[in-house]
Amino acid sequence: MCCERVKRARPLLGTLVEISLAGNSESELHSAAAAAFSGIAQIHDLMSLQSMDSDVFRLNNAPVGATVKINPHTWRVIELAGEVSRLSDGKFDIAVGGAMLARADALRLRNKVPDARATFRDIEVLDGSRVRFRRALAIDVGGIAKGYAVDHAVRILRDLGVPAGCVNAGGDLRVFGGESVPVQVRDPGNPAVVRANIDLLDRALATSANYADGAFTAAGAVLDPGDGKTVTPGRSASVRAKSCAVADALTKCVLLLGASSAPALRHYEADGFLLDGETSLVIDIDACSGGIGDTKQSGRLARPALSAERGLKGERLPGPDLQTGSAVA
Amino acid sequence: MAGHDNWLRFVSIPVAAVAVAGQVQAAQYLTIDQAQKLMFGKSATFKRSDLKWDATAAAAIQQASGVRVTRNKQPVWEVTEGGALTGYFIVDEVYGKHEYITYAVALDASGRVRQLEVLVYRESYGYEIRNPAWRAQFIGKKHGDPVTLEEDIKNISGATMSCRHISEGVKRLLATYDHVLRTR
Repeated sequence: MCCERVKRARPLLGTLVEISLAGNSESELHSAAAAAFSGIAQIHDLMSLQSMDSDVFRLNNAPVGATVKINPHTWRVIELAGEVSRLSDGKFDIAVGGAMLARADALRLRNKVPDARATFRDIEVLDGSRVRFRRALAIDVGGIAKGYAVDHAVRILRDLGVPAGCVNAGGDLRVFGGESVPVQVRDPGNPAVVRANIDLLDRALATSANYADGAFTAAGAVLDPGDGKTVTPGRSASVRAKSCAVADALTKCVLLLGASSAPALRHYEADGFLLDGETSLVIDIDACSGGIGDTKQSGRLARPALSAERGLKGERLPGPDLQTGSAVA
Repeated sequence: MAGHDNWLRFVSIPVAAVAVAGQVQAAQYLTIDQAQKLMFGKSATFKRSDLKWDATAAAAIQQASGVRVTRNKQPVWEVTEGGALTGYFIVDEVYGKHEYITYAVALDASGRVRQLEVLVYRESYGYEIRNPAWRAQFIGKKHGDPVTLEEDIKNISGATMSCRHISEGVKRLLATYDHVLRTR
């Protein structure tokens, strides 16, 4: 398939976006990478909170009840976000209201005070690429747009005939074209240490955390919509899914719900794991499809293996319950 | 089914596991030559014409950009096509606590940013990246040079690197253009 390889990186989406491609012609791969970067920049511009030209800015500043026509990309992100919200009982929620109001000052709202009761249920996704807010609310798609931008870049690269590659937006990445790519997941408490090795093949992987090390603080800390509190530092969630937007959104569900996120992951045929200082919780399809246990015990708990040789698979250890509530303080 | 393949192994190893303690992981994306051709096309001509400035100019650049100026020179290439100036190619470096990034900026003839490409990304948890002696070991390295870096950083998920330093670098470069390059 390939003789030429191209690797490019640009600062986009508030992080370093890396595109690695394999194919026949180096110059065609470079052109394809440039087109993919432009696509990512377009998603960024549409969904930026700050830019006054963005769809998100227009929606957030539209009068309550107004129907707003937006770009189909933004519409799709809001629709998908709503689906994940319903599957996670609102743990993933792009609506900024209620306990999330503490974050509202970052939204650059003019003449609008979000209703404290507002949730994803107040966002109407209408035909014709239109959206309407039923209450005074604002949205922040930061928890899903990065993954969507990766998917969009992969779509562009495939349409241009690129045989294989990987798009990595600061750790939210997607591999396509039948070449497996090794990925490492850092220890959420110590970025100098790798805690998981993954071989990714035709899948996306996303990781979210509130890292203990301030040097790598994620742009948006993960907040629990229930109480508006920040997820405990030093804990990370990684999700593998077909689409990076889904993986990105589901990481927040895993962070906030622990093993109870299994049904949402199953809906998308995704799997994932939660890391903290001492434990790893694996949530996978087997675990929640009845093969290993019922949904109540859908998470598998394990001590971190001491070496690469001592893998986790098949190793089920009794341990403290990492179900909802105790999984995320 | 996805759950059956052996996709995940839990480990506990240093990020630069293959290298000796403190060694660097690095990713080289483009050489200077490749970046120049990608940004300005193959028919453009590049003439190295570095910028130097004095303390007064440094203070003015810092004032205008709001970004600290710690150097008094900058690698710059004047770009011409058929004898006419089409822009400038500038190489710059920025560093955070653990990362050290070399990137190139293409300016058009009126000083507007046309394109930005990261050339090299280096990351270390062993050495102090803020130490000039540490960074000096990379200065002047070109593609193909024997380097002590571990080839090819792994794809890492988690602990997002912020590109704030690159944004600040571009602000500083635009102010440098305004105060030193435009008036040259």
